[in-house]
Amino acid sequence: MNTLKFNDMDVVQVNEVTWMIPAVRNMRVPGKVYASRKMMEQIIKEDESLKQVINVATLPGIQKYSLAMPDIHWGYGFPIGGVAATDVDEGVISPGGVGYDINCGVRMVRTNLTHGELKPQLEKLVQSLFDHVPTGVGSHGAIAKLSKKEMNRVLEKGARWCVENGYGSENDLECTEENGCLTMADPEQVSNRARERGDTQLGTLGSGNHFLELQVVEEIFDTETAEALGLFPGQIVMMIHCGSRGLGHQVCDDYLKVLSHATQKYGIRLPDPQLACAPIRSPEGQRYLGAMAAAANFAWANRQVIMHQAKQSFLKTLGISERDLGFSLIYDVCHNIAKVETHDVDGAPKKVCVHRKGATRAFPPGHPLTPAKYRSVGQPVLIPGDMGRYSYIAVGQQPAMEESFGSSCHGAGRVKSRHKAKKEARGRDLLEEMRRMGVVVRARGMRTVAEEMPAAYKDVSQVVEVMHKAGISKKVAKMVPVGVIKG
Amino acid sequence: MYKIISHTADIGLELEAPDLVSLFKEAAKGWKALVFEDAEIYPQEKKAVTLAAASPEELLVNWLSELNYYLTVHYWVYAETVELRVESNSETWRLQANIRGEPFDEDRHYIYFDIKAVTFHQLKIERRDGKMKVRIFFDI
Repeated sequence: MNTLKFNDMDVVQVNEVTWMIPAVRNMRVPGKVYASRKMMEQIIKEDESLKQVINVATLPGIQKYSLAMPDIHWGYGFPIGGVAATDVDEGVISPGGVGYDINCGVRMVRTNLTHGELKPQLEKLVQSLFDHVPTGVGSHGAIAKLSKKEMNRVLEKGARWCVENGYGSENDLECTEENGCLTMADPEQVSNRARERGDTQLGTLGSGNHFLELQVVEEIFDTETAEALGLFPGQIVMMIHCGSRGLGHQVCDDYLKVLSHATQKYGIRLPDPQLACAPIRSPEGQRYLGAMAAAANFAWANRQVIMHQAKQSFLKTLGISERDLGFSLIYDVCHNIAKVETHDVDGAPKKVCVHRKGATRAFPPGHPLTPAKYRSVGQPVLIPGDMGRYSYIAVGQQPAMEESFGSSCHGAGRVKSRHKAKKEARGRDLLEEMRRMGVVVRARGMRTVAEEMPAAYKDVSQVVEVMHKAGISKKVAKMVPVGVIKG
Repeated sequence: MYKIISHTADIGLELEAPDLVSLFKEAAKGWKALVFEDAEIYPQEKKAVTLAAASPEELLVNWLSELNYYLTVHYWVYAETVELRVESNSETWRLQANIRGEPFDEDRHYIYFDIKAVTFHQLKIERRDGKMKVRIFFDI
């Protein structure tokens, strides 16, 4: 058995892709990290994210393990790539376990088009998408500003509000995690400032690592599952990555303060103040859950409106019928969330609050929350890479329920700071470089392109491979980008 | 004095000043440099800011969050601090400031970093070597 050292702690390899940090001192449960040996050596060398796995293991009511996915890196409080399930009666909820961008997530849409068919119109379509989907900091105006009453409906209903207002179909809801709505949402708990930050931002992409991509299905690893998901080689698909915009950021900001006072009030001792938390059953915990769920609903509505705007671009630019376009949602997952779910703990089903911060739900075939149309293959897991290389679609597998509270990885993770990436990009024509790689890029500013250039990210294929080998999520297909819009 | 600190996945400011008021002024200058780099921002319009918090650290977070709020919600860009006062009693810290800036102009004000939030990570205002010092990180 291989053992590595992190500070004075043992990190014990239990199989090719799984490592345990035994529970010592004030840890209530062990840490468990999915990574190859090479990755683990890098994680230990790179940052303090393992310390954060250890810190999370001290949270009251945490069950089984403090988990981390192979795309783990340092975050505020919890590591990015961290998963923790807490007992709903005895445990705590922590905004640091969700992150600032509540329900940041990924949506993937299929089409009937092939790359060959789209190629002559690609530039035009990317430009049209850029014109129809507002991008960049403070981007706004995709739809009219929402009144307070209408905003409440969005916060309560999530993606269903969009379907009721002509921005989607029932199929979209069936193919969205939680059907695009957390019913525990309580709009009353969302501050006026959070509302102000969100009331013009529905249907906007924002900036940073968020994107809308046109991709080509380059490689299929599992033909049967790919067919069940409606995928074929050479097919054009669309991926959207974004979240709850300013509204979600403000909800997190507001409740970090509320919960930091609650931490003191309930006498909870924490190794890092950014783990601020409150008992789930406490008034503060319930208020955060209600506000967080409302922000999550806003994010689902946001991705739903973006998808609708994008569909209009496709139809207008290509001049084809809806039937020929075959534009339909494969799935929408969130990767920054806390949700009450039922999982087996010590051989019995138990209600737990699963925090997934930079981790994706990965429910297996046969699970009642896996949509009926995918119940024989498992819930789709969407894993975006960087804009020059590739992204993946996988499906959840049974070991995820036993090992990781039904969770898998969420992306690539940065390898270079934004400053360093920008410095390296000076004097280079990145748009031309991307074009030579076969990718048409439209961005609000060149600096975003620089900080998001492929070399700034780890290779996502290694992350996906670890989860595949662990039996948590099975690779189905790899997609390469051909068109990108960014903030 | 402010210095931008950049790690793999996060970014922040290292601040140093002779007193708390100057530290808050440096923080705003640092915020502007981080978000807009060296863009020209004209001090055409005045705004009064009043904030309260339970600690000087929370007040600093609120101060920079306020500048961010003007930018992302009101499309108004901070240029300079004209006047700033910080007061405290045993329970509350208060800030009053007059600041100047102008409406956001897409041609001149390229936003270099989109700050989602100002964080409390390792946030501790300290007096060392006769100076007030702090490191503050942003979620971007």
